Amino acid sequence: MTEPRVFFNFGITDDSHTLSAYRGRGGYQALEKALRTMQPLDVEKEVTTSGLRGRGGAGFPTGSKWSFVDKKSPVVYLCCNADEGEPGTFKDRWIFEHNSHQLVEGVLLAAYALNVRHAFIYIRGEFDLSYRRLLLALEEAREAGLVGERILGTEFSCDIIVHQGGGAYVCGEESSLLTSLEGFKGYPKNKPPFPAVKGLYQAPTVINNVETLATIPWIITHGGGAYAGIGAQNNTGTKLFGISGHVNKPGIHERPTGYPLKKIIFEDCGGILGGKALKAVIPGGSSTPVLKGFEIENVTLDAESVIKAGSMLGSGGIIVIAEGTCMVRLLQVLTRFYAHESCGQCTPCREGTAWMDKVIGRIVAGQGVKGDLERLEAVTSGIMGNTVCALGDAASMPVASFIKKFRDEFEYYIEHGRSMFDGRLEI
Amino acid sequence: MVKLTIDGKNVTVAAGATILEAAATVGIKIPTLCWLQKVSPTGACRVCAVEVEGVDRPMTACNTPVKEGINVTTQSEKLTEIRRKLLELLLVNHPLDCPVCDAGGECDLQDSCFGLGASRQEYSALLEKRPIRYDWKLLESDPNRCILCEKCVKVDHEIVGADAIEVVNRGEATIIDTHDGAPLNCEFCGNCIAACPTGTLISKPFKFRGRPWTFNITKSVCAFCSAGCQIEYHARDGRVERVTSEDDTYNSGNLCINGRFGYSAFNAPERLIIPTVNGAETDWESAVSTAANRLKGIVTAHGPDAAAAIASPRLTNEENFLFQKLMRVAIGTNNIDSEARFGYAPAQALLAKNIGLYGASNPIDRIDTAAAILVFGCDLNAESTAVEYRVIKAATKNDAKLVVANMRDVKLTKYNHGRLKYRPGSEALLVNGLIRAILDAGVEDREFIAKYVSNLDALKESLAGISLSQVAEATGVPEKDIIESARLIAGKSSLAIIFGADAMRSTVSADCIAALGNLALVTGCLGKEAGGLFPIDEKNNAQGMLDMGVAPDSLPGYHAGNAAAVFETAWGAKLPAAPGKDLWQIVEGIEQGSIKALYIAGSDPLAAFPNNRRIRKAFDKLEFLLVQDSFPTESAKMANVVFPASLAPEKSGTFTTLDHRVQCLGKAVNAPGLAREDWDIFAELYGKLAPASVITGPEQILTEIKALSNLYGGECSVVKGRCQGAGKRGFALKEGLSFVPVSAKSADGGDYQLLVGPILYHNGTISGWSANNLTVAPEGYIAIAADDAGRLGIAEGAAIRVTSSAGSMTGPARISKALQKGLLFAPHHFRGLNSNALLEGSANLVTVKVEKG
Ligand SMILES: Cc1cc2nc3c(=O)[nH]c(=O)nc-3n(C[C@H](O)[C@H](O)[C@H](O)COP(=O)(O)O)c2cc1C
Ligand code: SF4
Ligand code: SF4
Ligand code: SF4
Ligand code: SF4
Ligand code: FES
Repeated sequence: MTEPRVFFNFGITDDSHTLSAYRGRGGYQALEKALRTMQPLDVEKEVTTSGLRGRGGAGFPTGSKWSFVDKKSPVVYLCCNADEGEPGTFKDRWIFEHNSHQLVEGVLLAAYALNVRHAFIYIRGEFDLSYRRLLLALEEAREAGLVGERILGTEFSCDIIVHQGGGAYVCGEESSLLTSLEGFKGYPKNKPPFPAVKGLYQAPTVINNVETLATIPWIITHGGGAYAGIGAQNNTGTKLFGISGHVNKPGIHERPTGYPLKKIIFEDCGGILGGKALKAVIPGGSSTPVLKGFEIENVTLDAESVIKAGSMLGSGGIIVIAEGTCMVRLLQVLTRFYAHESCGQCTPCREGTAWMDKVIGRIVAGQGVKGDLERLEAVTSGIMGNTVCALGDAASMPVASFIKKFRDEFEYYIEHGRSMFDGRLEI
Repeated sequence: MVKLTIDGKNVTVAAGATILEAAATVGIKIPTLCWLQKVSPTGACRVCAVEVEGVDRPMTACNTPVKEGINVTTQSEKLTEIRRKLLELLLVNHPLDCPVCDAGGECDLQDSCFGLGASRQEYSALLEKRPIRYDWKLLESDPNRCILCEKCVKVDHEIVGADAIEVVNRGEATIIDTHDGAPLNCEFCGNCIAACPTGTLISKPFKFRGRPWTFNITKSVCAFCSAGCQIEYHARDGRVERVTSEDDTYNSGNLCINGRFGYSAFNAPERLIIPTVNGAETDWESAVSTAANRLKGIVTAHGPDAAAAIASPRLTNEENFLFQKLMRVAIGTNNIDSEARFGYAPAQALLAKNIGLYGASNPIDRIDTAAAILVFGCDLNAESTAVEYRVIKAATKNDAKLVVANMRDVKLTKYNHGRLKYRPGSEALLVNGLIRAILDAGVEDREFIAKYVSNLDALKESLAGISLSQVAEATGVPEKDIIESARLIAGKSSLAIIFGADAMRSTVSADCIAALGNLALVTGCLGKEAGGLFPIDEKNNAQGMLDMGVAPDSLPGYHAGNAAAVFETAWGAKLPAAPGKDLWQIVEGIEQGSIKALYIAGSDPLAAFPNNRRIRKAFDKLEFLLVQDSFPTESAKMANVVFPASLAPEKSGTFTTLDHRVQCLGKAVNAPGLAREDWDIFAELYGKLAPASVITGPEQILTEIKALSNLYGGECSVVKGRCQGAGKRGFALKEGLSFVPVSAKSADGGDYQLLVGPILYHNGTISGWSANNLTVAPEGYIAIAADDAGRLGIAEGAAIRVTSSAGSMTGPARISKALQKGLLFAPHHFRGLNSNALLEGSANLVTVKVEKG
């Protein structure tokens, strides 16, 4: 049986990213179909039926998100979240580099469904090839009458504006993405009001991840029902998984949801480097709680299964950790990242992330003191759930889970002033 | 309305209210650190966390709107734990130098930690030390103490509109700083200091002056501009050491640089503390006797009209009242006037005649809610900052449409929807153009006109002769902008028209004011709940002074000749029948030799009045000059007798704001040295001139004012600070008004015209004695448009010489983008620059010659 493919459905060549190549494989036919034969609400209905859940990390049902928007509002905005900043996540980049047109078509379909005249793509500032490929695609699309006034000769007009981010991870958080787009410092906002009610320039706004939007053309072409038939029941479709870390063949794989995690690591990615044992897996981007090797035994790649195991599917960035890795020092990489990326607005995250990083740093320097672990745990619980945006949670979950699952390593480090696993991991 | 439950209590509040507000209505207090009522919620500290049934994470009460039927818990073990942890985290990076911190004793963080039993030890890690900003003026910032509640930034952005400070960096490195890290360069209002709940932003001049609780706090009223902000003086050992204002005041705790920092003038080492006679120090008895004898001598020899007086908008109502009574009764002349003659008094007289209006038609808080606002010929930032805050609030929070008509770009132009940048001298024509455009568009307030105004046709007829293209041509304002602005201000549910010195002291002031009166009628801006007509004066008690009859032709309460009998009975004296001389006539009288004695209180004509070279020459001719002042002013230096007087924090009495709020001062300190309250000095002199009189103090005078003026009333004891019980009759709109014909010529200037006026950092000349104000704005300058500077080869800071027919000055050039070609501006506060000397008469504009200095 060939698995259905939403993304990996063509061979990559030097010009497979161009408009003619995309059209050659049926590109923009979903747009034709929608504009000529469907009402905006029909598009939304298909998306709802498909069961598609956001691919940006939170996994919120896309159709439901769209339904909150008052489409009669004089202005509605759509923002494509292409800030892809979560460590371990690199799937959106693949889409930009190899098939930007698929995203453009998805944006147009969403814009049509939501009565959007101006859509924005907020793209990570460090992306270079992605950015160029996107601009190229937009230029081609504009020339072909696919973007701009009276698209494909219909009444529907939509412009797509690309904005490059300034390098702050927090700008991937939807409300700060909007503040940043508006030209201010990228500060997350308190919710409510939610962007669907009051977003960009106070107008109702939908923010969707690149992968989410790029999936829409497939859904319109094949029908929401067909999409719902793929993968796990409550988390349908296929998904891009980016596997990194100690595997033999790191990279991007498209798999139906519900696919066994072990299989992707040991079969698709060729197993652990140097034949080492699997120590741990961070299943959905750096902010999701770590799982110990044995905990992934029966885990499948869908929200429910990963949650049952004690973590989250997140953005689909799977970080594989081999036996012999020092979890204390690994955690420091993460705490440093989050302390650096905290926007500094709200007390628990600003003070807490910096404090956690300092304490971990102290432990790594061999100066940890008794009670550090208890206090770290107390701080994570003080942060979690008490912040303006989810970065606070994202920063706390690794700390809490690392300490919980590898407490002996941390205690050893504090007691002996050095790691159980000295030096670099030899592979 | 929304119904919900908070801690088991049923609450009903308006939709859109926050949980915090809802809780407050039933007396439930939720702890907060970053919430400040007068600005938008920040939601950063998370201390106000509450539980909402069915929601898994705690919600912040300060910014979460209520929802029907929700069940909120504000106190629980879990919440206490969250709040305690938050505070402990805050303390991680807090130096805990409470014993030396200036906020010690008035720090929200200290209080909260105490309340929740949070201690720093829990989380002590490495403390990062961030540099303290010692290099700012008037303010100091110690970022180590900052809890990043953003109150300062919000106040700076939303209320003051200065956008001077912001949150910079991110994560733990986040601090409050200027956007480029350069030393603070802002309005120095200190409202951010007041908002700061910790010791981060502090007042430099107040630093280490003492712990907050060791000061005597006296409620009073600001003594600088005519908005009358409500303040507290903090005094110790006979000195005012700081000025604050609470958020529950009329001005919501917001002050400007003068209100907050101008107090250092009171403590100036230059203060006059001993009476002098012919330059020699003496005691009060001999000084007052000398003055009385000299005055008596002159009156006996030349008649009472050989004496004249100049009163002051700085004096209290009671003092001004007593001063004019002294002149009218004890001396027997109506020769009393003041600097209001240059603009405020004639403008008021005109509007009184045309529409029955004295001062403002509504309290200034009605500006906040006006649907549209026209600020005409007024740099509110400098003339009355508190009114500017209201305009900013209206335009940014309440959606008011704002039109700024000014020959210069002023701060408010950044908020305007319509902009009328007119040529100097074309003010009246511009107003007529606006009226014409309103009538053309048919957006006049027909209902209002039908009810109150009789002669719309006459107005139409009088405007028939002008076309908007002519107006555009002569004013330099594009026709479409006039039409657009007319649409913005007219046809709205309410309109505030605010006008200031450039209107009242325009070269065509009478026409301009009459035209503004017409505009007020056409737009129906009078007699409504919101909006109104608001004349602005730079000085605090201009309105009260005029109310008190400080004018050659009106008695207290604007009573004229035929009411004299009442006053004569009350005062047991015959009043002079003929009107006295106004200010310029007094100068003429001195020049001609008919006036031989002059009594000046609280004003310095030789520095603060226009054309003061002429005045100086005139003063040379006086037989007797008596000056009562707190400072060694230019005029005091020429005086035969000098009486050292008190300043606002040293006296009792009342001030009247431009919008008729009569507010009592609180006496915070005693006058320095031998200086005495002005009323007390007047009373003593009065006693010497008319021995039967007994004056016991401001209470007694106020009682008399109430009895005679028919303007002030109500219960009030003058001793209690800031009491508003003296109540003044406000404006009552009457029917049967008419438009008045306005001959709207444009005054034609030469190539260069100099505008002389106030700037934000000073108020009158008194702030020139204030070390605090002087650190920010130490000296005068001459602003010139970039074009003109280029043509004349004048560089920034280079000396520039400006000459008019009345005088000349040399000062450092400041190249300005705010000025149109051919226009220069010089601040009028500085004795050194003495820009006033170039003005030829009352107008604040004069044709000049400009050259390199
Ligand atoms: C700190 C932070 C960073 C985030 N970064 C990204 C990102 O880079 N890309 C992304 O799509 N979503 C990111 N998100 C999630 C977005 O807030 C949002 O949920 C998502 O864009 C919604 O799109 P979806 O419904 O299509 O998943 C981030 C969230 C947080 C809290
Ligand atoms: S949780 Fe962190 S990143 Fe998010 S708003 Fe608060 S401080 Fe900023
Ligand atoms: S002193 Fe006033 S203008 Fe300056 S930063 Fe503070 S609030 Fe802003
Ligand atoms: S300086 Fe003061 S007011 Fe401003 S954020 Fe810091 S603590 Fe708050
Ligand atoms: S000078 Fe005016 S605006 Fe400033 S504090 Fe005093 S009354 Fe208020
Ligand atoms: S008071 Fe509500 S978050 Fe600070």
